[in-house]
Amino acid sequence: MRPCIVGIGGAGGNIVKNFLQSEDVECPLASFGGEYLVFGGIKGVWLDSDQDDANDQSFFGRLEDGCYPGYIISHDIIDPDSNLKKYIMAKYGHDLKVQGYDRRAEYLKAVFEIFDKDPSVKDLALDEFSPKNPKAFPLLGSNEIGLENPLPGYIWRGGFRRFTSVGKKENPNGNSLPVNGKEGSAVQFSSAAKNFAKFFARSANKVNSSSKDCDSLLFLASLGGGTGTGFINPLSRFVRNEERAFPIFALGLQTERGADSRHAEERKRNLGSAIAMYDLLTKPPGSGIDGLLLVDNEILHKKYSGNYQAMDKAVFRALRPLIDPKNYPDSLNQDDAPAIRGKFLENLRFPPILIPCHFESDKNVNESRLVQCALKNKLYSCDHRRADMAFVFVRGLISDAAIRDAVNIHTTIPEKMINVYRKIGEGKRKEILILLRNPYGGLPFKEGEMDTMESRFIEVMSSALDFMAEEHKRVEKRSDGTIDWANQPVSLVNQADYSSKTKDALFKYFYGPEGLEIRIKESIDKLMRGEAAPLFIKPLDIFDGNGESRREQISPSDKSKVFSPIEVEEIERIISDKLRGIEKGRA
Amino acid sequence: MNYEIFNFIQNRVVLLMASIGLILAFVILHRFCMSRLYAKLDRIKKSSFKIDQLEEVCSKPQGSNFNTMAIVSWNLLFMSIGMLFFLTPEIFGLSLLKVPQLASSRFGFLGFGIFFSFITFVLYISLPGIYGFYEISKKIKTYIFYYVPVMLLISMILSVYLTTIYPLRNDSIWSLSYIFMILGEILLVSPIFSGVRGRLK
Repeated sequence: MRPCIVGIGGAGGNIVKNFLQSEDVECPLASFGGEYLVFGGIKGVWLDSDQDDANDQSFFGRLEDGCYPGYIISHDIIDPDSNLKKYIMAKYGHDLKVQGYDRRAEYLKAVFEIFDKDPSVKDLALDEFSPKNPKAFPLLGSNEIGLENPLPGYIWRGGFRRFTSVGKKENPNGNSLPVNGKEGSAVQFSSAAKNFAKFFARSANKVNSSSKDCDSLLFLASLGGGTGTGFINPLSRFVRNEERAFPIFALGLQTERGADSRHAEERKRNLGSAIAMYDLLTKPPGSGIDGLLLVDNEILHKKYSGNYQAMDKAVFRALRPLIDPKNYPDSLNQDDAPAIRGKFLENLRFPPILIPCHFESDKNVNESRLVQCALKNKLYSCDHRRADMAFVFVRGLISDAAIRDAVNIHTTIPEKMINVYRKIGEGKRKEILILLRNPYGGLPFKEGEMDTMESRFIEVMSSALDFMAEEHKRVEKRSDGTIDWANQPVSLVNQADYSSKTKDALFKYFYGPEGLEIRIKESIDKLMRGEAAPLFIKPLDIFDGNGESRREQISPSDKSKVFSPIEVEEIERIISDKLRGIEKGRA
Repeated sequence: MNYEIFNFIQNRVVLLMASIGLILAFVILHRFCMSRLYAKLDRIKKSSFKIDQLEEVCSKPQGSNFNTMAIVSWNLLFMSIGMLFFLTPEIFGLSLLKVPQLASSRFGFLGFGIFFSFITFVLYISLPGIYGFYEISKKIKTYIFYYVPVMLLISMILSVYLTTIYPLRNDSIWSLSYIFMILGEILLVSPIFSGVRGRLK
């Protein structure tokens, strides 16, 4: 598997940096360039929405300027005087060029829905981002069709599509951009070095193999409500619409408990996380991602005492067995991304949640010990016996049969549901990554266990509900049920920049009869009952087909069809108990 | 200055054998390591592949900058061995100075270098390929990239100096030249020795 790794937002960028560390020699005085060699021969990009963040670092250069490793700012394609920008601002109150998204996952969700659904916006976009307007196509080339949805279109077509096997190869050098765009003698040296090494391909360790195209996409983002949370779903959806069978995976980082460095409170971040997970997991195969790997930063935070660099590195190390290209000689195509995609989705109606368990050792440990240690080292708490399938990626001299046996014994997953991918690795080190598919469906609160996946999900969703409920209380309705937004305090829905139309739509999205609040309660109920996957089923949009507020599909009186009053009462009681427990724990 | 430290370097033929032996050990150890790896894999699961296929799979790119410099460094190593032992007829009868026309030519040293590069071409082109089978830290790569060519160039310059003063001798300079050469060589083979140790554990 050779993914193109797209780190979205601040956290995504920090993690992808670990994947893109050059393994070749660099000169501090000048960039010698050459083939940019990284572990596994993968490619990667950092996608962000804040130019200031990009300016504050030196690892990534601007992709548009021909730098690699590069970053791309999502809204760079939008001109400050764009008519489209003005139209959306006036009609919806969303600013396409806002720097960062201030922990509002629903902000970007709404932006992408507007482009998807509002015909006037589509027309304006097609007009403004047509091939006739070369200024709007800095990276796209001349023979592209117009862009209905310029933000993801720009990111995908102008950003990282070139690194994948589906990318157009108009520019033969598209795969070997100069390192950080430095031109001059250094680049000339690098070209000479590259050509020299190509000429002696065998003796030069096949340097060209690293320029192979990526066979899949892996989005890395924090699910904390910021850029990553907002982008991960619309972007994967956009790419999926263009490439129906291209494998797309995502790795989401559940943020740790407590306030983060930007003082964004946990409940608000958890709402972002719930929105992102909901959207990612409700797209049937072929219309969204093909698997969501979940990592709980709370676990890494404890393990590395809050050292974020070490935490980011741990994520990279955990994924190394997945991207290591050194397969055993008799199974060279075993980890071909389309084949893995097929396995991930096997027998499922919705994309799976995959929990990584990782362990590495320089000692001579046997297969059983490797598996045991990996299961103790889960990156998201869960009961491994609940998983319906396991994907085991190992590096080192490890027996296929022994590892299969060990996984079967320790997880009780039937052998035929265990997929083993062996890589030769390097030296004496043995490494294992187990991806447990959908390991939930048990009772959430077990004695003696601090966290289970079910309890962590309930905690995240409960605190999101709590935040929504508190914000709901600030909204006062008129006697006729309508809301005068002008006379309301600022709240989750009543943001100063939103138009009334957007506020109405968001209010229905959050609190409507088929809104997020009800859906989350349904999911919590499922988890409480110990029901197996899927966790979420019905996709939820903010706007309807015309960019208008979503029509209510069931009347408020039908609420009882979703839950009986006793069930509603019971769920609310459980949630408040759980929240009290969390508060107590913290105190 | 006390030059006694260099007195241990008496037998130059032995020293030449030592430097060639190090290169041979580099190759033999690598072959041994691959055979062991193949045997281990065979034990785990009866292999349906040949050892050549294993070599192909095990190889990983080390970077074009590193590869280029590694090839250059191996070329310099053979040149510095040649210049240290075969410019003057002190050890072997066969030397540059035994060919008066070439030795007195303006391009004598250049001709000798080209000749030596030509006859060792296959070696310095193929030997760096072995690096691809081992994990080489960026630190070692940096040493090979920066220090090895410098050491070998110093060794070559000292050898050229010794040739120009011939028939005068300067054992200290010769020893210094040998030390630079052998240090460069040790650095060049070091990734394999540490890699093999890791693989065989």
